Amino acid sequence: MRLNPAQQSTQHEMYEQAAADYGAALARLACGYEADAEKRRDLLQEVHLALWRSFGTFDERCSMRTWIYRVAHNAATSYVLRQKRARPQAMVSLEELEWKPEDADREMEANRREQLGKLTELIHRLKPLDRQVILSYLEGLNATDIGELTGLSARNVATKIHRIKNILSRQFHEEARHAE
Amino acid sequence: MPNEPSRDNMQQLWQDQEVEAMRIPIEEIRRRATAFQGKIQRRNLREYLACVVVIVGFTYLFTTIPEAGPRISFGLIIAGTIYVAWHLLTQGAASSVPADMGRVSCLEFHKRELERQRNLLGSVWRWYLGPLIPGIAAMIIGSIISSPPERRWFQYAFAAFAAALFWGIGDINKRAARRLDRQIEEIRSLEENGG
Repeated sequence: MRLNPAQQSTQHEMYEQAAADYGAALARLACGYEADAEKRRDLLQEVHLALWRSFGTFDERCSMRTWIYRVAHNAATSYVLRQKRARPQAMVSLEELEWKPEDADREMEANRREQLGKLTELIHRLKPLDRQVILSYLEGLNATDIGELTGLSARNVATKIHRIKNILSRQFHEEARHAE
Repeated sequence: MPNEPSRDNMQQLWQDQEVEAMRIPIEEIRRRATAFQGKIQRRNLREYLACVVVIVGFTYLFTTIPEAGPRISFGLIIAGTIYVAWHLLTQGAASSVPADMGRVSCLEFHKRELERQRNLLGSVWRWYLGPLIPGIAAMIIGSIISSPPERRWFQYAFAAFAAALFWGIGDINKRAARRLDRQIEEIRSLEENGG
């Protein structure tokens, strides 16, 4: 689709605004999809490129925030599917995810960096849909927003968030217990 | 419980992490978008060129070898390759990421991506392997018939190798398509239950 100059200008402005307002959130989102720093940079570039292209078709049927997160998650999911095509069994759902206490034995001192590392590691093990929910939750989106973004029902999102909170709480309970 | 995170703590932990936010100037974005399209075009061009090389090579053989048997097999290979090239041209095996991905929910987008990959892998017999079989089979059969019986072992071995190769490629793709089918079913059942 070719845009006229006015549309192009709007597209550029929207992208500039999105990059300014959501740059850090998009970088964190990339952290949730790719562990390797070099590849993460490539993924982030891909997300930015997808975002810029998407503003050529932005129709205001949803909020700008929902649009940005949708494009970013969809671009990242597309990336994950390409990367994981050879080994899709490596990903699990939230329902299958279990915190293993033996992992905590290896890390007696739970500081923020370690906690963040563990959290990121846990996110990387999730299937795309559950990853989208947990990342949105961590970014502070509520169940309704996450439902609009992902296409899940609010009830399902609420259930998943409840499970996420339980998993995270259990995980850090264990760490606290082992640290004592 | 000093280490127990509340909901807010966990979100804070995530949001406070040090990240390098990326700002790409518009000119750079444009350059990369053009470069990306160029990459897709070059990938498609390579596929077409491979088809052209096969077509030109077998057309040369078709016009220079007078025997009817080999000419039939060369003709079938040319026809099969033209079909593969036509499929690549019209269906676009190497497509770019859609520009309207903000319009669909993540669930719908994920399903579409899986279906696209599944369809490509699942139809490999129809558009890639199948069209080439008649020509290759005719070539091998013709070669067996024209060889003295004591030297046919080579043709039999080649036929077995070609069959195993085709079966192997088809089987790998079929298994991958089945794996994707299971993931698509999971999403469909989620949709049927209201998302």
